[in-house]
Amino acid sequence: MTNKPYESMSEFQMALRTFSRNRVALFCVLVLFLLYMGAIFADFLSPYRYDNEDRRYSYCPPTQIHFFDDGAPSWPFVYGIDLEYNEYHKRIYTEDRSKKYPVKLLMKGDEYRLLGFIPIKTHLWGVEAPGRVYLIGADSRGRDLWSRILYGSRVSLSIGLIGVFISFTIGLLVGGISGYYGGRVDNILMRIAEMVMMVPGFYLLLALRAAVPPDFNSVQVYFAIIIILSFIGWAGLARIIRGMCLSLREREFVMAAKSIGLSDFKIIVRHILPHTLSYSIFAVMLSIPGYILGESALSLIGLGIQDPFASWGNMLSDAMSIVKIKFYPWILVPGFFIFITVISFNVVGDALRDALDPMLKSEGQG
Amino acid sequence: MALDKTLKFVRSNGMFLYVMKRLLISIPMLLAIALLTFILMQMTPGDYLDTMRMNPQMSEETIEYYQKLYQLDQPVWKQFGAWLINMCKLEFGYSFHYNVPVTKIIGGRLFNTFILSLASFLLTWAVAIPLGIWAALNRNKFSDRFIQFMSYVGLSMPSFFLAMIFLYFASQTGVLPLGGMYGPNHEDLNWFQKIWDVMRHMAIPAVALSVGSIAGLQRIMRGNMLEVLGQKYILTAKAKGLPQNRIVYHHALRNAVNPMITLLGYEFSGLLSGAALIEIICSWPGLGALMLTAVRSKDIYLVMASMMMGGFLFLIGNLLADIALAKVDPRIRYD
Amino acid sequence: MKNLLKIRDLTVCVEHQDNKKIVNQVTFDVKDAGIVGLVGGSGSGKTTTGYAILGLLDPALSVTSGQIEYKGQDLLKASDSEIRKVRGGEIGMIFQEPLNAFNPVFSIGYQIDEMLQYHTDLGKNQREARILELLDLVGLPDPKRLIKNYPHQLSGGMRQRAMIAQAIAPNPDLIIADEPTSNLDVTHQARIIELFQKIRTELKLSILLITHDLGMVGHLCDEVAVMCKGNIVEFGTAEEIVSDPQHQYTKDLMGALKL
Repeated sequence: MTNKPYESMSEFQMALRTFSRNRVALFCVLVLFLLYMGAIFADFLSPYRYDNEDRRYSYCPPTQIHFFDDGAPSWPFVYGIDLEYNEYHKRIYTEDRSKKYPVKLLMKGDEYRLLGFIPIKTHLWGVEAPGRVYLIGADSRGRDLWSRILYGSRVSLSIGLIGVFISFTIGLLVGGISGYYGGRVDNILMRIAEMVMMVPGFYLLLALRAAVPPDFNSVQVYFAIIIILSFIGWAGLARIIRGMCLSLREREFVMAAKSIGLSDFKIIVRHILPHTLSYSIFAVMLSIPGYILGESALSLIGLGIQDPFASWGNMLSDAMSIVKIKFYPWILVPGFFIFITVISFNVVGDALRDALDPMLKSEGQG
Repeated sequence: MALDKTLKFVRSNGMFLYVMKRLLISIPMLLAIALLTFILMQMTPGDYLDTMRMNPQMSEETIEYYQKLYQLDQPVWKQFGAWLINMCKLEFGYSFHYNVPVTKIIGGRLFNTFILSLASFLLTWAVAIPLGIWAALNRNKFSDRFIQFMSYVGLSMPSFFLAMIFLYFASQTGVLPLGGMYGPNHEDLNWFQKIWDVMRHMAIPAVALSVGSIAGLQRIMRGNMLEVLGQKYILTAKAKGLPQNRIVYHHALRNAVNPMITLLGYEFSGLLSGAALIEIICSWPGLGALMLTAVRSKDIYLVMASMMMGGFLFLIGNLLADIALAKVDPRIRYD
Repeated sequence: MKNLLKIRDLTVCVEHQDNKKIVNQVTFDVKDAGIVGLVGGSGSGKTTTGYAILGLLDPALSVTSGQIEYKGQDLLKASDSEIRKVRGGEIGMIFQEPLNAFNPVFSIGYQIDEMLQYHTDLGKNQREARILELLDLVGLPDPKRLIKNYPHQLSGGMRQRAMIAQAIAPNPDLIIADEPTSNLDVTHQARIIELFQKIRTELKLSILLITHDLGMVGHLCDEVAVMCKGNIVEFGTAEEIVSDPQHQYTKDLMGALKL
């Protein structure tokens, strides 16, 4: 049975249909969508900027939003926060019921730049100063954790996408060439890939990070991290692509393309790789968590995104102190976000692989 | 005559040939890692000896000694050669941060990481294999679905985060120690209590490390078992009148476990690398924690030595896995 | 001549779907030391009938009615442990693709030995001797070396013989052979046919031969049951069926054969 590109499109559509029947996977797609929306609209959705600090409220617990005022339902509001020190010099925060701050919608808060250049101050919700609303609590500097989680999602989620994009491109090229030519080229390229996969990932990560000049600013560090992660990650994708190409090159449509005199490169790029694209999408999905975790790990130990910028990883570095975890457990929340992101990608990737499975199997038999 | 005999021995003993082949492939790999490490070293700005020179406690002789040892005034390729040779002599250079030759610190740390990894490894396989078999035998029943669900959670949970959560609960309940490798009175304990002390400290990091691996391995075991149980030879075994236990635990299991033997090697290396972060969080004094300190303080020789250790241990793990696979699956040997 | 195996009104359906009958009211006997052929195309239900005898049906199928009487016992009503005793020890089975049917990680000798371990009381040395005997009986060369070989090291024909050796090891009275030669080339087929005749004569066992190959049936079988879509459409001695087929389907099969 020959497999021309238009036929594979309809097979791919069949796979999509199988996928869409999987309700759990669809739910996870929704979750991911919400997460990425949250990242894009972080400024708007959060009441404060990521670096809006107020040291009076260091490690303030989550402020309770009240929906009832003395028993009667009312518009949501928060009380003021009072700070006392107990006999152990530990901070105790209590509600100051004399001050009431209603939750406001579309209020003016910290300034940010919409689409990167339009200065604007409107936030979706918040409370008027001097009230503070800490939805999930505050960190050591009194910065709102919820806002920082939203801003942090920008880093954590984008690194996943950009990193995997770079790795995938490299992997496609290497895997495509390797799988198509076979023989010596294949051998050498795959040995290199094995070598890269061989060095224990975390160690390689650290070593590469060590090679980055110390005077890089945050943005440069960000890109350096992406490049480092891509350097480690391309090998796995390349091997998958290579496997597919190896079996694909025996197919009739490749023979046909050759017979009309197409150059090897054109054959690889125009005919073989498009086939692998649809199949490898699950591999892409399943490797994104690796990048997110890689960045988180680096930031966790202080080698990634630095303060004051937020990333889920560097927010968790606070949680490396057991004392802090014990008394301020809300600093663990960014970890849950990492978890939810990772599990969503895993579910979606798995579901895609299951949906593509019959195709994978038939392609593998050349 | 001797040549004939050797050839005959080699040809007739498939296993020996196989091991030799694998070893021969490993050596260039190791060299390649060394090269990569060396190139990285060169990329770091500055001459490593500068840091040494800035240290007032360093004597001129020591500096000269290291300069000669690493041939730092020679062209780059000679430096690489010198570094390689030194490595083989187990001379790993000098740690600026700890102010001792690298070999002095790396050994102990390596051991600590090793036992943590080993504990996690054993835990993983001891739990995942039975779990996978049980899931396969109870396919699609509630117990299977539950295990699969938990596996998903376990796979997606970042191990460092899990360690943090464990530490949180430990801090609230006081059941397990909160980090480090030894209790405060470790020296005063007898050897049995010492082991117990270390094990208690190892509990949280080892379990946090294992959860992800257990989830993944269990899935593979279950998948393999299901595939094997659908094979014709299982039907034959049934037709032979063999009892169910023998069919599952002897005929099926042997085949299901085979493909996983190669995983042993990868598992081990993955553990070494994954352990690093957990070590840092749980204050476990291992190679990963060491590497982090080294990177933070730009302690180059230490960084490179740790990386070589990692690569080397991975290769050993792989080689052992290959040998184990050949022993267990006769089809590989006679190819 | 006594009837070793009596199958009466055997009906097998897809589970919970009583209208999808894979095997419908199948009735026939296998005599002592007789060879019965069960012939038909794919989907005829012949393989399912064979599997049903030993309770090896796919879990998606279930027996809805009928009896399978073997030495006075209804196998369909037998308990698990009773059926296990019958499997291998009393009724042996040979499968189509011996490469898949042997466990790839154990040696041939080991797997035959397993049969003897579970169905006989022979000691280690006696078992060894018996295995060599068996391998010799089925015509395999160099039995001493063969015992240590793994299934993938043997050729297809040799594997099938080894499979037969394994099946006859515990001296069963009936062998069910499911398409034993379909994956072999013609020369090997002929030799296997010879082997079957040999073991029937020397060991006095019956054979239920399941196949689509009418030619093989003609050479080997005493009686033939022709199956089509789950039913037996014709039953008779081999000569009758081959020389004078009655039912249209049998005629079609014979016609195809002559071509």
